[in-house]
Amino acid sequence: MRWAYAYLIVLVIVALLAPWLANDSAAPIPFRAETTALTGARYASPGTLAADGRRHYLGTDRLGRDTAAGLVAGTRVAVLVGAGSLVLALLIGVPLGAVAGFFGDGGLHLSRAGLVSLVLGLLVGSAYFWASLARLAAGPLHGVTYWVCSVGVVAAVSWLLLRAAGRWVASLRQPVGVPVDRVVLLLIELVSSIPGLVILIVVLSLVRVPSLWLVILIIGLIGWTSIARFLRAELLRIRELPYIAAARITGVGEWRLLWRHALPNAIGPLVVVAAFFVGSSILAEAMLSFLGVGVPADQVTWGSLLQQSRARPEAWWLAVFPGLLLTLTVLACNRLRREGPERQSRK
Amino acid sequence: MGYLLRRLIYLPLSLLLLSLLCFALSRATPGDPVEQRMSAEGERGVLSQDPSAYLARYRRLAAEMHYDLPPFYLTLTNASLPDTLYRIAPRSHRQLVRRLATRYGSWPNVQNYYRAVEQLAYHRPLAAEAGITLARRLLLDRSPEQERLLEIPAYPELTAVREAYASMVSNPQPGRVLLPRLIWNGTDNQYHRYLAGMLRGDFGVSYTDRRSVAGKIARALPRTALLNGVALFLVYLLAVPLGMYMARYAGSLFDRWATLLTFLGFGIPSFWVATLLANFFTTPAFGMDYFPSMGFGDVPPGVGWWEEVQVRASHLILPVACLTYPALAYVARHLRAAALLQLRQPYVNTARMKGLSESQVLWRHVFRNAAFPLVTLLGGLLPGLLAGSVLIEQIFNLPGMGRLLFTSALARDWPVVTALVLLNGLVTVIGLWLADVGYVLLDPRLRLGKRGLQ
Repeated sequence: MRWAYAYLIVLVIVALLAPWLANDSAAPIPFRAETTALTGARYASPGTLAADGRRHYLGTDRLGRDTAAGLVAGTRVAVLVGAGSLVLALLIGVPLGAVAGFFGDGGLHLSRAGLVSLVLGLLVGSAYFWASLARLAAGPLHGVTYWVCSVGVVAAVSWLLLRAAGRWVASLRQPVGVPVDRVVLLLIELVSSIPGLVILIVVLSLVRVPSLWLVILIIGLIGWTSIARFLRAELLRIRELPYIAAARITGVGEWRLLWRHALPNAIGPLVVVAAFFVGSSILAEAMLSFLGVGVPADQVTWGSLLQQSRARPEAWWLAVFPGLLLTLTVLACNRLRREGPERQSRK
Repeated sequence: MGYLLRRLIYLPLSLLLLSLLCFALSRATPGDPVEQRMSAEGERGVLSQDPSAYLARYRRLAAEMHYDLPPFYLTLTNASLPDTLYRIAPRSHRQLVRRLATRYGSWPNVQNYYRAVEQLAYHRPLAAEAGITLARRLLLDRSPEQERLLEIPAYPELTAVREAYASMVSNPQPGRVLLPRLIWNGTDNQYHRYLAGMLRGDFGVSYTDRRSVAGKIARALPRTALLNGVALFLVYLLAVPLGMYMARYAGSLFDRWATLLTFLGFGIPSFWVATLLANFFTTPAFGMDYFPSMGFGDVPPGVGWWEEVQVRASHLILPVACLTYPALAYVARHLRAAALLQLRQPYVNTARMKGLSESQVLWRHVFRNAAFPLVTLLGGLLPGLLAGSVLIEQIFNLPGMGRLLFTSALARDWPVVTALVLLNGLVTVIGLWLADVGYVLLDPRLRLGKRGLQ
């Protein structure tokens, strides 16, 4: 348990300090990961001295790049992918799972006018974005801004109209339960029926310009379901606990109850699920770069080093060291998960 | 059973959405499938001497592949674009026209300009060579810099093009982009045909070698099925006794070692182990060339079944081991946890007091109740094994489904890729559903989804 935390902390520190740990000047590893030596030491075994007296502690690869420096660069990629996809998965999974679990199908009330305008805003706003605004957007960030504006404007306008109409139509004023739980569960079902690794391989081998951000984006978009599912189950349990009822009696609002009272109680176990998620997304990244899809070709990663050992089996250092690091990382992430995995299996 | 039926409705829904996802991906990615097929047929080189013939052939082939139909039932577009945009044949021309229309807003003017350029580029054989070349460059132009190209020469043939361009640019109506339009295309569209073909079992032909997709999959499927079938069989054969005895002797030396080993087995990436095994034991690099390295092995005709099994086994033992051990560790750990939970139940003591032997208690009573996760895990294992075999097949050079998926994805061979993704999705969804069925069948007390109905 403790070794896992220590190892992961060291990993993050190495990733943060990568440019100082391995560079061409006086660093502990006296090479940059990208420095090639096409004339000299290709596939040099560990400990070989380079022409200028610097030592390749863990050997070199096909292009004469230092393996130790490559491992440090790979650590940076792994931590980036793990943390990035986790942030994305949390951003999607925590709100959805928490709201679905805490409010269920009947706990969240909205006037009918509000609900209708929300749905209208999402449907009509997105459709209008697709038809017109998307053609005018200059980049992805631009596009997202347009989309949010489009949805917001449609929702706001229809809300104003429906609220005005509510003076005469009483049913528009009535509060209705939002079926959050059902919608979120349906979303989870649909996303988890996507064969993840297969879609990842397909999408990434199709893009012209591979980029790490796309890898992070897809892993996060596919992987949030595990976090949402866990948090939903956890909050289903927590919302029945006596202290929530006590807080409710003292007059705490429902949203405040969720964010300040119920959710903090679920964070401890969530860390464990998050660690497992990080382990599997780092593993997915290694698999992808092993296959040579998704990650830019000049980027040295653990997976790309492993891949090179396939072409030259004699270079055992290319197979052993990156695999060992990957294994330790995955094991450390798994180790944080104390209780059996069936806790988060479906009810 | 109502819950299971409700879940059964999800099944076609998820597959439908997956087919939509595949279709959208295949249309959104760069690359022109028609051109791809022309180069696969070796026509691009021959026809590139004669652009008019190339264009005619392109349009004929596009019609044959149904690319001249609207893509979907509905088209969501805006007032600057016509409702028959899909009819503009090479994809590159369509992109050019769309860009111009978005910029200048008025479709008739854009259409006039496009017609003039296209006329000059392909249908005026007597025009000056330089004018034709310029017109073709205009059609290929990716940036909105048409005027820069138009400024250069002063051929008489270009007058019409230049006039059309001037009238397009002089009264732009950029506001028309903001006016949305929704067009109903009817059922004769690309997606409808694709879906209908899929339902008939006709998955189309591969873009790269024109062989039928169904045939390609049929060749790869038995190999992957053999690989995964053997692996799955071994997983359950070994994991059941391992997990049960780990629970039976919980806390003993055996249990502690087995727990450590299964922890390692679940965590150590199998593709790394596969790489190590392939590097060390199938190549002569370290003098340990114990296993043959490539494929499924050739069985000479006329040999007995025993020799055949031997040849196959020598090729398959390493990949099957790599597919088996993580799932084995996973299942054994789950079974141990479930059995431990059962061993604490009072009925176990009752059974012991009745005078049943320890193995009878373990297998007749505890196992039946602990078998729960075995069924559930099967649902998750099936698609996982298939996805995992992409890497294992790649490493051990086995021409199965995983390799087929990988190579066709790299070649942008959409018919093969979509068929494989859908097949994989089908297995995933059926696996998840089977897990639910298993739940209900094994434990009739469970009434799933009750809370959702409250």
